[in-house]
Amino acid sequence: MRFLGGGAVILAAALMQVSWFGHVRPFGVIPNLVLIAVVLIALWYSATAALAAALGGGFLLDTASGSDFGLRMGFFGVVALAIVAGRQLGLNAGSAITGLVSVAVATVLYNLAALIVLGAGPSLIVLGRVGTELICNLIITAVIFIIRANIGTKAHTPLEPGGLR
Amino acid sequence: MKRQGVSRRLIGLLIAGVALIALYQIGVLAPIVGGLTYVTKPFQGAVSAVGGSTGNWLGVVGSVGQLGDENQQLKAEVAALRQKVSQDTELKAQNDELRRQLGVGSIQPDRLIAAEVIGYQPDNFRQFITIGRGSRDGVKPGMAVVQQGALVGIIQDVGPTTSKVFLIIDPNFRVAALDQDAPGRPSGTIRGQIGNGLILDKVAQTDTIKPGDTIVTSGIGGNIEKGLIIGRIQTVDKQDNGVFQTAQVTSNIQFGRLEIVYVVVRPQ
Repeated sequence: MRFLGGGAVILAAALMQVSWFGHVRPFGVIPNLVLIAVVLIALWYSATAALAAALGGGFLLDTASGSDFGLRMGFFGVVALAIVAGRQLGLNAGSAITGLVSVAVATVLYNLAALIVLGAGPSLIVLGRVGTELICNLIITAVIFIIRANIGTKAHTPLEPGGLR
Repeated sequence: MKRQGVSRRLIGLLIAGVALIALYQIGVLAPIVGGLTYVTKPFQGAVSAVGGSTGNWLGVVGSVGQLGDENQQLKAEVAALRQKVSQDTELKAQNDELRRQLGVGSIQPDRLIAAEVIGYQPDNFRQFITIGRGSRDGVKPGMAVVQQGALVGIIQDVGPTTSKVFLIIDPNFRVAALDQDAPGRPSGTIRGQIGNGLILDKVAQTDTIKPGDTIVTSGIGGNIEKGLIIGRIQTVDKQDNGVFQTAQVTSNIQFGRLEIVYVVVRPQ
C-alpha cells in the first residue's frame, strides 16, 4: 500500500512538472519536483523504495523528455543510492537541514550533468537559471517539511549504520 | 539474511533500469512508451489546461501596466498587416493569372492541424514540447510546427496520439534561413541558445543585414518549407576580422506560454 502511495506521489510530481509547471514557470524556470520527491523518499523510506522511486520517476521524465533518454533515470538512481549510503553512515535523515542541503546538492549536480550532456559551458544565463531553480526547489522542499511537521507524520524510518531495508 | 534479500532487490532494480535504457535505445520500448503516453495523455491535457490558465492569469497580472502601450502597438500592427494583406491578395491574383497562362498548376495551400500542448521538457536547458496529435492524425517526423504564422519547431518523435516537437530555441536546433528584407536576400543558419534567444549565423560579411529585418526559413536542406517566419533581427554583430557576421533574432512567440500550435501538412 505504501509502495502504491509512493508511486502515486512520483506520478503526480512528474505530471505537475511537465504539464502544470511547464506553463506556469515560477520566475521563468521549471522546478524539479521529481528530484525533490526522490531525495525525500530516499531520506524517509527504505532503500528499495528510494531506488524504485528514482528509477520510476526518472523513467517518466525520460519518456516525457525529447532528449537524453536515461539521463534522469541514471542520475536519480545515483542520488537515491548516495542518500541511502549517507543514512547508513549515520546521516540525520529526519532533519529539515539535511533535506534542504540534499535537494540543493542534487539540483546543482543534476543541472551540471544536463549541461555536460548538452555540451554547453557556463554563462550568466545558465547560472541564473540554475540559481532560480535551486531557490524554487528549496522553497518547495521547505513547504513539504512544514506540512509534514504540522500534520504530525511519524519520523523517518532510521537505518542502522551498515543496515539496509 | 534479510540484508541479502534487500541487496538482491536493489541489484534487480538497477539491472531493470539499465535494461530499460538499453531497450529504449534499440527501439523495443516504443510500444510501451506509446501506451504510457496514451494512458497519461488525458491527465496531461487536463493538468496542462489548468497550468495554461494559471500561466495566462499570472501573465496578465504581471503585465497590466504595459497593456495600454501594447494595445496601441498592436493596433498599428493590425493596420499595417491589413494593408499588406490587401497587396498580397492583388499579387496572388496576378500570380494565379500568370500561372494559368503559363499552364502551371495552381499552388495548393498548406493544411494546418491544430494541436494542444500537453507537456513541456522537464528541465530548463533543452526545449521540447509534447503535443496531443500523433500518427493517427497524419503527423510525421520533420513537419514544421507554427503559431501565429511563425515557426515554433519541427516534429521529432511521433507516437500514435502524441508527438514531440523540437523547438527552435533549443541550443541544438539548426535551420537554414534568409533575410527577407535585405538586398539579395542573404542566407544563414538560425540556431537556438539557452535563454530563449535565436542567433542568425553564417551570414557572409559582404551581405547587408540590419535590425528590423524579417528572417524566414529558406527551405534548404530539410523538410521545412520556405517562407515560414522565424523572427526579426534585433542587433547585428559584424567584426572586421570575422569570416561571417551574426545577428540576434527575436521571435514573437512566447515559448513558455504555448497552448495551441499548428502542424503544417504540405499538400502532396
